Amino acid sequence: MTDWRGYFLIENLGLNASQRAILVDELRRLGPGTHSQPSHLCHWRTRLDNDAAIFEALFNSDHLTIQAFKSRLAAIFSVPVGNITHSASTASYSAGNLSNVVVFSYNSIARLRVILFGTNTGNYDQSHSEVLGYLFLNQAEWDTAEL
Amino acid sequence: MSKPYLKLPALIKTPYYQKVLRTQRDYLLAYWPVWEASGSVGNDISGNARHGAYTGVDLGHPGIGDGHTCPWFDGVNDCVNVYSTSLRDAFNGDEITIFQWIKAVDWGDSMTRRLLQFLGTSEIYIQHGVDNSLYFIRASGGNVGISLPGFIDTGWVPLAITASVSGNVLRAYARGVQEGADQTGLNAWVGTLGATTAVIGAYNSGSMFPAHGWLGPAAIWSIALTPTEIARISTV
Repeated sequence: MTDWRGYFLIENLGLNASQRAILVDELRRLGPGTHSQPSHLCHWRTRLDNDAAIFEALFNSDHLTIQAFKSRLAAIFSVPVGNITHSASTASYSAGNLSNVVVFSYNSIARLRVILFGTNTGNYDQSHSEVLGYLFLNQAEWDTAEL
Repeated sequence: MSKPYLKLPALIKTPYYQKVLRTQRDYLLAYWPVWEASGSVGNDISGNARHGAYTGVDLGHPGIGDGHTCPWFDGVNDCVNVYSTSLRDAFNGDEITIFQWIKAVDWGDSMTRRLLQFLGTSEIYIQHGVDNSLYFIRASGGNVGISLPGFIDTGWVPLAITASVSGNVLRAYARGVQEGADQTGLNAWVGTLGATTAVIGAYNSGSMFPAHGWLGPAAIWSIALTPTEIARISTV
């Protein structure tokens, strides 16, 4: 296990409301239980449609692996982990940086997209640059129309 | 024989926080110096115990030059929720001053970023807009306020709005100086403060329109401070 401080996004692609709630509740409990810095405790921002959220904390990297998300989804669907499949790619939202993008499926239906900003080998600054770039590109989905 | 130590008090500068505390103290509803080095509570040192709650910020960064530290806001999901039932009950949207120090990472990032706001049905806020203007707005049956297009500053900037419905005037301040003309047409405040919408560094406690940069001391009064008073609390 290693600590990884940064941002990740989850986007609901095919979970019903109760499945989504179970997943979100579990993710909100990641990170340290106490810490002197609020930035290191798990906190999040929810997209306007409530179907995506960005989490930040000082995470245990073991909790953010593909296998860890497969295990969570398998538990939600009450199926073996092997029944959850995934496709992985990379994206870039800021100059010189990359993010991991993974789509998890069950029964050939895409259920969840996860973006690990800055990739699992990136540092905090890279993750921060990536999430800022992502929000810039997607501001209309995350902020109501204001001035 | 002289007593040189008697001259020492004149050489001691009044700490910045005391300048704020001594400004219209009877009307000071809350003063959040945000100087904590750790923890989740942003203390109100006005004596009213209207403390704020930190979410996500990084504490302990160099502050406004008063010898204290400040939090850094990441522009993603950070804020300080300063709502309390005590503040809600004391809040006076008709006679009000809101005050906030900020050092932005990028004033030209074309993102909406709310720096300080108090919202019931009516609202009063200081905001960086997607058009890179800096807005000072009191909205109650229509917006009254000013905008500063292309506002840029590389250092710490004190910002303030004063509004008086009885006097029918709103003034906006940056760097201790009034910006624009007196604004009129103020309507009475409507609604009580929302539990999620009295916030430093965002639109709500869910961190919509999150600030990006360092936010310093913030305060709120139930009176429109004078230009002289704003100038005084705008210097360290």
